[in-house]
Amino acid sequence: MKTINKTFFVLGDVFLPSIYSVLLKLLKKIGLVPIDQDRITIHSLERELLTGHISEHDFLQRIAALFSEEISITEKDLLSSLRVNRHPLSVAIDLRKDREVVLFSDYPKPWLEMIDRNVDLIGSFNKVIYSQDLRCSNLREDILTHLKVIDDIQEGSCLWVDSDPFRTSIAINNGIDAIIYVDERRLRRELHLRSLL
Amino acid sequence: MIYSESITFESEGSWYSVNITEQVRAILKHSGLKQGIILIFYQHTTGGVMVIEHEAGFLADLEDNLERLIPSNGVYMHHLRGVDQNGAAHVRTAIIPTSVVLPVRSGDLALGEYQDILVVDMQPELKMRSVLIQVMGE
Repeated sequence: MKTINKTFFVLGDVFLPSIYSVLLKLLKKIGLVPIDQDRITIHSLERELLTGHISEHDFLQRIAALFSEEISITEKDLLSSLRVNRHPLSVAIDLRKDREVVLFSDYPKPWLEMIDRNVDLIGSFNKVIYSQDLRCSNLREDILTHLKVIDDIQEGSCLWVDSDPFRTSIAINNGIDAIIYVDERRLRRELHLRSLL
Repeated sequence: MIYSESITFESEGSWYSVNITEQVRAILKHSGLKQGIILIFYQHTTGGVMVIEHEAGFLADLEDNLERLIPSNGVYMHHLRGVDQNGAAHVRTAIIPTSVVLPVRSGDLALGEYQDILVVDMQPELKMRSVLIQVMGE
């Protein structure tokens, strides 16, 4: 059995909803349902934000500009309703007893720090890596190349926990063990199967 | 008694999968059914629904083997009409089930320990998708 000495947890859709889904909920609340083309654009803008190519302010302005109605979306609007999912967090804390646990944040650093004021999320991990700092072009195809360089990921020695089926597939195809996050029960089961918990 | 509900989700294109087990469970609970069967029907021609172990390695294997058998960038006569470029998705859908029927016992899905309900969509572009859930029994 290989030795896993480092586990990466992706933030979005594990501990917090993805920025994309939070935005859609917010837009729905003000009576706006984006058509398919707008959804593609929102995804694209989210990618630009999370790969460090546009600022948080520009991101929110460009989202608002997609709609013919005059709307304003603030950071407070976006973040105020968010609650951290404590279930996977308890798993990460348990794992940290025996190995390094890293949070890969696909939220901008200022936003994560705002959320962290209400719950100790950042402090539950050995380290946080921000997607914006990697400045890769794509959080799917490029991310593992960047992480291999920056965080010295060795094949067989780390585990990637993520809800994104594309990224987990890329991890697996790059020789990195991965677990698709669905819920705490399934996560603990997969970790138990690997003798990690 | 027959009770129906739908699950909708956004397929992000290419090879997109989503585990709908808990959503199906919630619909079953909402129906109040104790014994019977539940039908899960994928209402599109570019994907299907499976009962599998939802494990990253397995999904990579499934994608890899489907890609070998039915390559996504192959030549498809479906493309001749010039409407879309999802020929591979259609052919793959012909060999992936579009529906599954599961037993319901004591108000819960009678799934094995490692079984989950997974929807896979292979439409190249982002699209909204829906799954019809129909519960029958007492």
